[in-house]
Amino acid sequence: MKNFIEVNRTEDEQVEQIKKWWKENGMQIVAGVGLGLAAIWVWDAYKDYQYSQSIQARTHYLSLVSNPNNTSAFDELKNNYTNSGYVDQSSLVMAKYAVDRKEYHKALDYLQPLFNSENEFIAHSAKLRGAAIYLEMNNYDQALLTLETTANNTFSGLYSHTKGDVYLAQNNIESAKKHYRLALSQLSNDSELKSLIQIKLNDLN
Amino acid sequence: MKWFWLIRSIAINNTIMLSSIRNKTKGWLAYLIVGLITVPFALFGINEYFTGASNVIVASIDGDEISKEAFLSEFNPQKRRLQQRLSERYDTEFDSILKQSVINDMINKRLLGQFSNDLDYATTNSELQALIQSNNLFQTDGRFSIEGYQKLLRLNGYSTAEYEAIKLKELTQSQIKYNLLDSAFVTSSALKKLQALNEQQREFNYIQIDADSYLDKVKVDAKSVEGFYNNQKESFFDPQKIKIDFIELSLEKIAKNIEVNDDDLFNFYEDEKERFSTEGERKAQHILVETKEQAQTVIELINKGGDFSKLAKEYSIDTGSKDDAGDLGFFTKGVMVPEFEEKVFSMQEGSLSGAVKSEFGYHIIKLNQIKLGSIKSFDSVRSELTKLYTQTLSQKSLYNLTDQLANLAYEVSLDEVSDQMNLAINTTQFFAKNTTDYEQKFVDVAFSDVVLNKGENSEVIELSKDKFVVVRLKEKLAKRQKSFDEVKGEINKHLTTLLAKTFVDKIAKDIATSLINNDDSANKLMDKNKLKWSDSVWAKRDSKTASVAIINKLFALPKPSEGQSVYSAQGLGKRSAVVIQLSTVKAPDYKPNKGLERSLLSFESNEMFAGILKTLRSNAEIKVFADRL
Repeated sequence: MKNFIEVNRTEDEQVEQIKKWWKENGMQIVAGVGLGLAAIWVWDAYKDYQYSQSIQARTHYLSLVSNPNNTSAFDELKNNYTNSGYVDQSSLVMAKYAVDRKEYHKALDYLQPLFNSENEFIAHSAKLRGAAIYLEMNNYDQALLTLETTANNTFSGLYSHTKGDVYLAQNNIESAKKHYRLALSQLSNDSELKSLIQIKLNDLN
Repeated sequence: MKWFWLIRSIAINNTIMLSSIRNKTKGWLAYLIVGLITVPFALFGINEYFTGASNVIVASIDGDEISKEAFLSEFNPQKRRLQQRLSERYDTEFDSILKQSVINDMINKRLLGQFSNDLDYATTNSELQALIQSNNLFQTDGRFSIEGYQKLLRLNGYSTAEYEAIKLKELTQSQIKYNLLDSAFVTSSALKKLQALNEQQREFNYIQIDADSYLDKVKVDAKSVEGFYNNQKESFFDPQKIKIDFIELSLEKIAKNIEVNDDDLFNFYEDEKERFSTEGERKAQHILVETKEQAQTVIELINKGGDFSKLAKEYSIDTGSKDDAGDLGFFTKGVMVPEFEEKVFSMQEGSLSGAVKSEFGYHIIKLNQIKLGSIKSFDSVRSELTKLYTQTLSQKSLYNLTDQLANLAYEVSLDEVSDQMNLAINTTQFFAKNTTDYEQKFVDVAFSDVVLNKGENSEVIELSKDKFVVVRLKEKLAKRQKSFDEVKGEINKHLTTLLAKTFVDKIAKDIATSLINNDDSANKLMDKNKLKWSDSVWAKRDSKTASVAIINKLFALPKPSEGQSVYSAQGLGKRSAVVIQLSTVKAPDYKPNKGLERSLLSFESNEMFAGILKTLRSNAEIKVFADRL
């Protein structure tokens, strides 16, 4: 393209040259532009599709949240929106509904698969809730086992708090106190849970 | 609710920019150019192209950048709001704190945005509607008002599309927190335990002993007063104090000297006419249908005497208005879709339109009322005008005078500035650096190097939007050690209080010990000190039957065993001691408490959310270029 127009030639020659150049390169340019436009169109369509899938998943999720009997929404999500974050969320909702009906084993069935979720926040939520259910079932050993975490993580305050509750239910006052105190030191600075835990601690004096 | 008007403008995907270029250019050549331009866009992403060299980046999160422009558009409004709220107390030091908090907030939002994107979270239009409609800023008489909504947004420089896109994003981000809350629960026995604890009641009485009553019973010896002074000598000093001359320039004073003549005022009125006029409004009902044929049917029915309201209910597909007789209320120009607006504003009061086509379908419109626009007469707004005009003039004059003041203050002495500008010099009292008698900015400048050490005129300081001063040092008193005689009274008082407190602590402890041992020295002590038990009462955690401090101590006491009381002596702040007798603890009968359940769930989810944010932040590579903020 460097010598596209040369100054010394006559107009006719120049026109001739442009025509020649177009003959040689025209196809490629048209094809290139066409390809580019097609790519944009495909990308747009793909984005639109993705967005509408997300909206549909959200709609199913919301209908499950608003109505405990709407289990078809849960099945729909589980079967047709495998990659959506709403699948895990709806399992958590199903677990809550089971707890509301006091069907604790069923609730655990929903939660257990999430214990090892790739989304660590889902995993922590599921474990903390699972432990609360074991506690409700008086299955203290299983509750403590569920709360066993290796690393000292951001959520250990919540874990320690629930552990304290389990030990208290077992009437193991010293361990309960120890874990409540631990929770106080691990929770984020302005956590509202602190005053609640302090109340629990004071009550054990 | 007239919803469909609103939603039409929401941009769904991120290709708005491309399509706007496509719309503006015409012809095949334009297509060719667009084609050539769009290829690199499609491959490399449009954002990078536009935010490349010309934009300053203030932070980046995993390569996702925040531009200075984006930052300022968050920072400036917040700063303005803070300034308005604090007015004169606003200090430029707040800027850096605010900057930190704004950029932190923006980073959090980006992280939540990315994460909610990864999880394929999305927000439906009905959620967005519900949010906007429930915002009472947009409500008149307890109902959502589309006019109010659009007006308020316009005033704040947003279009509805922009505002709705922002809200949509925020809602999607907030799902990180609220989806987890949707499914959170408290098991029934856990709630029972929590409630028993929360609503626990304790029966108690107490003896309060105040140190103040013992101030004349304790004696501090002179030696310890002197010893205290010698040990703490460096804390007894009189700080440096200064006296300041200053010249003040304020809008208020300038306005007093301005006289307005009628001709000027009238010209001003002509210029500002818009301010005194109200826009014309229309009140209409409509029925929206999908096809022209349907529209014709409806029109015929109306012409045969059909009731418009009933037909609206039956035929209209505008879910927002159909149950409301199709009523759209009063609206001004610029609110409805163009075709609709054009028709309505050309109709006679009480008349009916034919089928009007818009992007939503076919409207049949009935215009019920016309409010014509109006302009208030010159005479009726004269006093308001005078005020406005004076303000405008004095504002202008203030700017000029401030310039003059700045130049003069730089060149000549303060006396000469005063002479030339005919402004009086004022003088302050002596004040120290920690004074609250003068504005913080004023004090800071008075103690700055230029004024305090070099003795020069300060620059012009903007104390508020309408008030400027130049200051110069008049006199200074150096920091000096206070002599023992000056402060011995103060020290004596301090030590006496300490001693009295120790004394009452001991009394409280002796009484408690005696009560625990069940001997009679408690009674003797109480008689001797004229102390009495308070009446025995039941308290809950939030009771006001005694001071909060006493209630808190009460609920931290161990529980008594059946028929026995627990006695405890406790210090109460710096000036009192208390003996508490706790006789009974009981938990009331269980009643399910939704409020308590909600509180616990929200406490837990807040902590969970804090943890999520912390984790997201630590997993991301975040760079903040603080020097560019």
